[in-house]
Amino acid sequence: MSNKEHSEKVVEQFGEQFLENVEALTGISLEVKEVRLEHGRPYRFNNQMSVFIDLNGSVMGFLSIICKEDSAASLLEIPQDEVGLETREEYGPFMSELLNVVGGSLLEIVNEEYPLVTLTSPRTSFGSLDFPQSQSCSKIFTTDHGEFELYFATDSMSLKVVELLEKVKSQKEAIQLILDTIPSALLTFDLNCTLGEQCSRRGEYFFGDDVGGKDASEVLFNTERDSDDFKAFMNLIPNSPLPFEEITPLAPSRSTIYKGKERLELQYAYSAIYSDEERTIVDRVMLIADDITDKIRLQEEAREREERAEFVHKVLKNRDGYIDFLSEALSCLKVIKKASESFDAESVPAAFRASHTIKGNSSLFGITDLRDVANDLENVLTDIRDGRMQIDEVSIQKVIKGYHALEVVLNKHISESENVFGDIFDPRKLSDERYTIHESELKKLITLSDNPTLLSELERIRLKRIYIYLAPFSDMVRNISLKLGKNIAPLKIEGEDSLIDPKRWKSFFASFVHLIRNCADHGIEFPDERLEAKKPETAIISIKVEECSTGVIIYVKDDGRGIDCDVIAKLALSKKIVTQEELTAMSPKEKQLLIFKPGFSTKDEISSLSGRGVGMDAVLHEVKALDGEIDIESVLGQGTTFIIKIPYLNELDDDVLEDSGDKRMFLRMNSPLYLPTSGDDGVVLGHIVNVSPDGFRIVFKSSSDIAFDESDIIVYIEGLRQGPEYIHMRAKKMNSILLDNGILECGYIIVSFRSSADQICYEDYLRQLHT
Amino acid sequence: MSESKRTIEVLICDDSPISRSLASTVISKLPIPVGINTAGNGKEAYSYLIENKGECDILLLDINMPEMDGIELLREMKKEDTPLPYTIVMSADNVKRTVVDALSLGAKDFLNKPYTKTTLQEKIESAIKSLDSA
Repeated sequence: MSNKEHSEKVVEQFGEQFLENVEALTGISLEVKEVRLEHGRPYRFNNQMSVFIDLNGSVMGFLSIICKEDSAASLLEIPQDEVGLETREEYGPFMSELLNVVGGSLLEIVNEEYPLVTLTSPRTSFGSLDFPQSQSCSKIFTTDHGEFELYFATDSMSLKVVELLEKVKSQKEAIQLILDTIPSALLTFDLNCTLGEQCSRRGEYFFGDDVGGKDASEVLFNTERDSDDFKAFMNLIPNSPLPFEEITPLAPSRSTIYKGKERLELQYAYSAIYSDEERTIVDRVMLIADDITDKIRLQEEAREREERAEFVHKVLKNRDGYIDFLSEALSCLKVIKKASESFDAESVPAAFRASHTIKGNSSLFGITDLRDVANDLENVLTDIRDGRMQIDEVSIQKVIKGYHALEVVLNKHISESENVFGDIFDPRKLSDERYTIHESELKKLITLSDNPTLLSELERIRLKRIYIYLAPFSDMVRNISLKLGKNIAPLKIEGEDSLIDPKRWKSFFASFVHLIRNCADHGIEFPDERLEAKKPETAIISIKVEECSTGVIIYVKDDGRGIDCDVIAKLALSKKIVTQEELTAMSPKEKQLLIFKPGFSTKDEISSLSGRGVGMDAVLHEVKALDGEIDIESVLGQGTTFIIKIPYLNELDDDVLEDSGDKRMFLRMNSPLYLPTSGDDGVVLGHIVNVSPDGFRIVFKSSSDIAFDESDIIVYIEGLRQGPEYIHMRAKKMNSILLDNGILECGYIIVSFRSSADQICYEDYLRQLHT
Repeated sequence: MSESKRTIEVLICDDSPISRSLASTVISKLPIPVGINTAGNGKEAYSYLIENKGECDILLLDINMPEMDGIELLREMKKEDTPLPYTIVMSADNVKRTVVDALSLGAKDFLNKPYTKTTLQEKIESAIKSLDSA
């Protein structure tokens, strides 16, 4: 039935009722001569009586009886031009009857100017309404006594509701279809938590297909606690001092349910279905359940990643603090263990303090699981300490359980730290080796977090003070001097704060032993010799480290006898390392350098330090491995200085440096690398120091502290046959070393191109160079 | 309407002195005459309510308190059948259940901590409105 038809029907019914009423009241029989149908709203307020009516609880209507002639008006007993009618009696008997027909009572005069009245139906009060966009319908009844117009209007909103209700009735299947396709589960239950039969397909998937009649608190929730909370909430509804909408935030909004092995995280929203009789009384509750498993999982992962990154960051920043924390935690654990065994007045408060310490420190480092177990234990211990909990079997078990949980989590962290950082962070195995880091493991973590600050932090931590490697030689010098009866001052080390990459330098320092021994053993004279030579009795060996723009220079100096090149030459000849001819052609310097030749063993020569059998060739080998060079400055009788130069370049990965001496360096050395910026010039990132033979790796020295993983750069190339004078490249990977002063010293770029045109240019350029 | 002209007696029950003074400051700024009393835990509030039977109009009640917490106080009042003032319970957001319990025990409204000045004022205003219409 359309809106219009609906309105017409109302008018029809009321018209007939009206005529009957007039006859009953006045004895005048009105015979309908003509019925005209007119649409549109007649704004005639004289001789008009209006009532608001309620059709079916949801549609509000407005019915007017308009007397088109005075004679007709007299039938209604509406006083002409009279205003201010306040009671139903004043409307005369007809009005009273009409009110009876409608079934309401007079509520208020809407408008004093016009005798419009608002009526209440038993159900609702309508208030004052205007119907600017109303659906309306009017019929004119012509009788012997004149014309009456019956006018009916409803507001469109109400009619839409009717329309929808009708649709719901006629299209129940369609609605079910809609319900089944929406991603949320819909179900309803009454205040006793009994579920209704109706359930969307999604709901069937979540909760099974036969939920009707079951207890919602059991179907919707997995834990007793949630079920109880839900029941308490449902019990509150009928007695709630607040409207339903305001207490819904108090209902359990999350639930984890299991479908077989699958874990589903659901989010619940509740809305009220009100009683038909009393619009403020909640009759049933509708539940809208959404699957938020993926969202939760992502959130959890993100949180874990964040915590992990934060943890690494904190540990890197405060390495010693972290070691202390773990040692302290281990000793706290012992205290707790003692308490769990003895349970006396002393050990319980001590254990409380211990778990409190672990809790505080672990939250400082963001180790949440440790913090949580420590917190749980602390709560139990507090209750015992303050006498809220008796010391009995139950509480003892609780403490023991808490202790074991703590032990498990702490050990997990220690072994994890070991995996990541090596033994260094295991306080049980603290040793000199504490400066090795399991870099690959760390990198795995770092890439997870993708945190640039962390990356540079990592680079920093990778580098170690050279002092760490030099310090042990101090002991060695002392030992040698004692053993040989020489008088050598404590080893002097200068420039010990220079940073080096331990991974790369490790074997170098293994060979460095020979160099120092050589000094103490060969270089330094015995005390009587020194006195004879009018030198101070105490000899000095010193190590000085210097950094320059290209690398590190290490000076190892002694004030001993110096290298006698003739002795060296004789020895080399006897060992058949050189021929007499070769010797003749050698300069004194070249003769000195013979000590680095393989086979020029010190073994035969020095007997007092037996069993060494090592040579300086090992030192040379290691220096060469670092692409460095070694030189000797020696003055007979005054001393010797070994000068070892190790370039920075060598601190980069091996593969970059292969064939670094190759002549096919086609990019001009010292060409600047630019980071493009919005301006014309760009930022100078650094200067090229080396290019790999294939032309696709460029090593550069940075002149700024820019650190990045991947970025566009501009490389200026001289001698391009075509195209622009520079090429846009994409720097894929840059390994850089951040020095202590915060400057990014070196990096390399794996060349790739932003456009194929650039690539063609570059390849053409390579061909040009190779031919 | 003359009802609202009289002084509204409010009892703020919270173990944290900062929370108490915060709430009193906010409430005293309302454009109506208010008398404010405070209690540091449920026990104090209980003795105050017994001593001043019927005097207190609004009780702003924290749930987590030492000695006697908010729920225990409500339970006690119910057991003794002492008329409860219009009670607004305050709690941290994660303890829905206790709020449900409080409302079931006769509290009229709740307020999640931390609250804003406006929320508290609105709650107090609607409490006064509800007291006037009663």
